[in-house]
Amino acid sequence: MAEQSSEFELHAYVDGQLDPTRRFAVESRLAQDPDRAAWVMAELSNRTALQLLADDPRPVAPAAIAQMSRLGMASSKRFIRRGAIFGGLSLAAAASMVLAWPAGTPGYVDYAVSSHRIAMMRANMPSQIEAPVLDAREIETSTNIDLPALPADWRVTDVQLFPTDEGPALQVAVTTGDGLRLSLFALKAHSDAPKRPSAVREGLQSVAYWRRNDMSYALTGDGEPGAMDARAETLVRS
Amino acid sequence: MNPDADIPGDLIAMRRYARALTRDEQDADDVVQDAILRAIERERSFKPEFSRRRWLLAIVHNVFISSKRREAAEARRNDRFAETLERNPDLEQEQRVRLSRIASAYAGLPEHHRAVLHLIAVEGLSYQEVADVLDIPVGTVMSRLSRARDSLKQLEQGPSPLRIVGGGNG
Repeated sequence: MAEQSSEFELHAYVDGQLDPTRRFAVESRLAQDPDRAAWVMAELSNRTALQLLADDPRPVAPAAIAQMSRLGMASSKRFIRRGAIFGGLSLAAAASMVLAWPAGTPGYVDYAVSSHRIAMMRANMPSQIEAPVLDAREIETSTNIDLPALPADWRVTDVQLFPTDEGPALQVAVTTGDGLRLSLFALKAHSDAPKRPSAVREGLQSVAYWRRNDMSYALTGDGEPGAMDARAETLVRS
Repeated sequence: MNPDADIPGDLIAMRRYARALTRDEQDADDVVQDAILRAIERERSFKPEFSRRRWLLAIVHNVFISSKRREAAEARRNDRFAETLERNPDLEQEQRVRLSRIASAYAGLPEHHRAVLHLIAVEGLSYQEVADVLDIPVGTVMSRLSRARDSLKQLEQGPSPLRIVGGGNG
């Protein structure tokens, strides 16, 4: 009969840390060894018990999420402007961050991406109430933000004001007719954005950005920059 | 850091770990709050070879160790456990008794044993990852794990100080 498994091996088995070959060897031996098999089952059930006891159904506090999202921004290469307010960044670190976007990408694109991510996070949190009503007139009256007309098959899921260095921006989360979740970001600021959309990639997302008079826009969502460009074009033409 | 970080998931893991260490919900929330601030402060100490989650768990651990929260009131600990049972109404009486014994045995473990058990059994970290989080050799992780499991088993077999809620013959 094969030799016994070591104690280490049995712990590693209980903790799911063996590769299939070693798992198979351990299981084959255990099948012939009721005492050790019972030990393993007892440990597996203790492990499950600890998981049951650790279960914590309380929702996470929105304030904590907001704080944590600051953390992500400061360390991400793209957030140099807000990164600077943390004061701890070295000049060398700051310099390396400027390069993250292609040259000429306007600064508000950072905000567009982070507001999109926050919107996607909110959408997954029951405690965060979305405001799916878009009152373009009220928005224009109180913020001077002028929104392009949205395609008829876009459904608005959330509308939020978002603070930026250049004043309040409006972020409209939508689901497109083909089920894609996008954010339209609009800021009343005369930026360097081109009149025709130009898109850059940011992780899994792409951002198309453009300008109309003194309004700067960005459209963010999952997918290729080319596809985001094409969707943004439909907004420019509207 | 991963731009698509799962912030709610990170926070829940931080809270779970803080609760395993403090054995108290309110103290755990305080530890997490301090840990967030410390993480923001010490962002440059983030090592890219660490996962963000593990880096945050290590900060939770350090905050706990450096601030040494007061011992949780036994009553509050038991309340939390009673809630766990309420959330799992399908458990049979025998299993409820067993779970209660494990709960009190776990609460009675020294904190360095609870830390290792929690990170491995609940967070699913590998032994090497736990060694990184706690900044101890992997051999120490293994010996603590083995001792933690042994004492959990011994304590579990002792008399349970908890009264079982919702049972018929408690």
